[in-house]
Amino acid sequence: MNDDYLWNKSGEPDPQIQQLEEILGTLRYQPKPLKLPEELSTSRSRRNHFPWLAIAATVVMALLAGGLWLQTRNYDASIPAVAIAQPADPIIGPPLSASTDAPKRIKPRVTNYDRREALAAKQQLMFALRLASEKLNSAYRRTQDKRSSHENTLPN
Amino acid sequence: MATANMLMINPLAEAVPEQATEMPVEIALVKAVLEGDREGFGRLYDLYAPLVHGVLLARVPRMEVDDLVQDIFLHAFKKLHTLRDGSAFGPWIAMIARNRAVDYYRRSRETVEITDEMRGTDKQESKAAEILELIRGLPEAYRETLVLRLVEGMTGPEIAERTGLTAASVRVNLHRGMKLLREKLTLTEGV
Amino acid sequence: MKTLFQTKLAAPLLALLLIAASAAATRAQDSRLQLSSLDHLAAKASQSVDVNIDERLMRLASRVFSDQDVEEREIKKLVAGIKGIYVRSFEFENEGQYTAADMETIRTQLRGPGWTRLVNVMSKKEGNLEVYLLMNGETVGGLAVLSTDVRELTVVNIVGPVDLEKLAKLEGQFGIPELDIEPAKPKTKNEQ
Repeated sequence: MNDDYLWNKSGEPDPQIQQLEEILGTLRYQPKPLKLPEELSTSRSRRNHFPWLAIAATVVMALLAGGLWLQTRNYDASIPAVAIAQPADPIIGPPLSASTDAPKRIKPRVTNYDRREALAAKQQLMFALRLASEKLNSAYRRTQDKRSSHENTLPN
Repeated sequence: MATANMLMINPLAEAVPEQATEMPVEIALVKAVLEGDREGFGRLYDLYAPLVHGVLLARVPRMEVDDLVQDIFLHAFKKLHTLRDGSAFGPWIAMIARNRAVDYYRRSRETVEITDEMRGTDKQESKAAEILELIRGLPEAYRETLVLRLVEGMTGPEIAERTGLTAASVRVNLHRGMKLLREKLTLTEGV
Repeated sequence: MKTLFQTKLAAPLLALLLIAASAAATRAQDSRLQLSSLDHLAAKASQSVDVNIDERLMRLASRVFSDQDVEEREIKKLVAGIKGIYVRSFEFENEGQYTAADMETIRTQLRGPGWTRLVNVMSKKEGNLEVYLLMNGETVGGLAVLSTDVRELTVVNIVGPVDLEKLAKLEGQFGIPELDIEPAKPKTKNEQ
């Protein structure tokens, strides 16, 4: 079965798919205006790690300079210490409000090539996990069905 | 080998939409909205309302979809500052829509039945509603892709671009989903 | 002299034992299946899917999961120890395009040490489904799922420790939870 028509509407049209498009097209989205209330606004203060990173870096440097070592390390997850740990989220794209005072990262940014490969790998990973999950749940459901039908056939 | 339609998912071939040549319009629009341009959000709404509509139609009762589309965009507007990468607006808002669909069922647990008002008096609309229910009975990955293709009229590449899925994944979902749908249609025609 | 003889014998024996132990350990822990024996089916398939995510790609993919997104955070935790995921999936136009011998090459590996078949469901209508686990003591060291139908063959192999419950829940996390297997939720005030 050539599924070019299903894929991108090219090639020989599939009559059944065309029929489905015609029937289901009646349910298609009909443009409606979006009403944004006047009082609604998007927050302009983006969550920005950089001031916290600067503060954390200053604290860490001060402690190290004073020769004090933390015996127990209790890091607040929202204040990553630049000198010790890398940030939780790799910045994939340029942040919209980059601070010029931001401390330098220890690890280099993901290169464009790496990023493409990483995103493609991520999609494949999600697909594979979804497939595995689907099969596992199918196995579970079918064993449950078999169990219940077996119980139903047992004599009283 | 020549006749086989091989879907080799090549990590280097299937990648994010090309950014080398042109910045996606979403990046500029998101940036503009965050700087106070409300009309820019209207443009994002025009671009992505069909996607959100389709994602919801695959999951919640038809009569709820229009209101939910509006809710989702209002929510997205308030939370736009949390979106780190403007080019990911599509996958981001699709995820919001899916989560909202989950919330819908968490809040209202009554069974959804096809009622006469959902069917409509029009025969075509009634048939459409029946087929939609068949699609909703398919595995989740297939139903959304099929709705976007058959209801909203998007092509496979458009679905991939808007949702952030790889083209190969979308193609597989469309192919398998369509196969299952055909089987269901054959069964119902026999009734 | 006796000591020298014993010393001379002991070293090679020790080496042999170490090699054997290492090999046994490797065999017991290696949950990666060789799926290349299925590649010839691609020529006959109308659709085929080939996913090969080794440890390097797993690490690379993990770097782009968002910690802000609840689902991606869960997935990142799930795949934290996984060393690879491999999928071969084929769909055929007609029946009889693959043979029992094709599946036997996979099943032979799954009869190896450490592998246990957890589920075997057979149905003419829905096809056959087998789930295998590789156990390292009490930990799951790998997973294999074999799904066959008259016109479809799918093998999913996960290498490394995997939480089956979390993996099963993923299907729901990509959309509406599967209502028929959703765990019972505590009743709200309205429902009580």
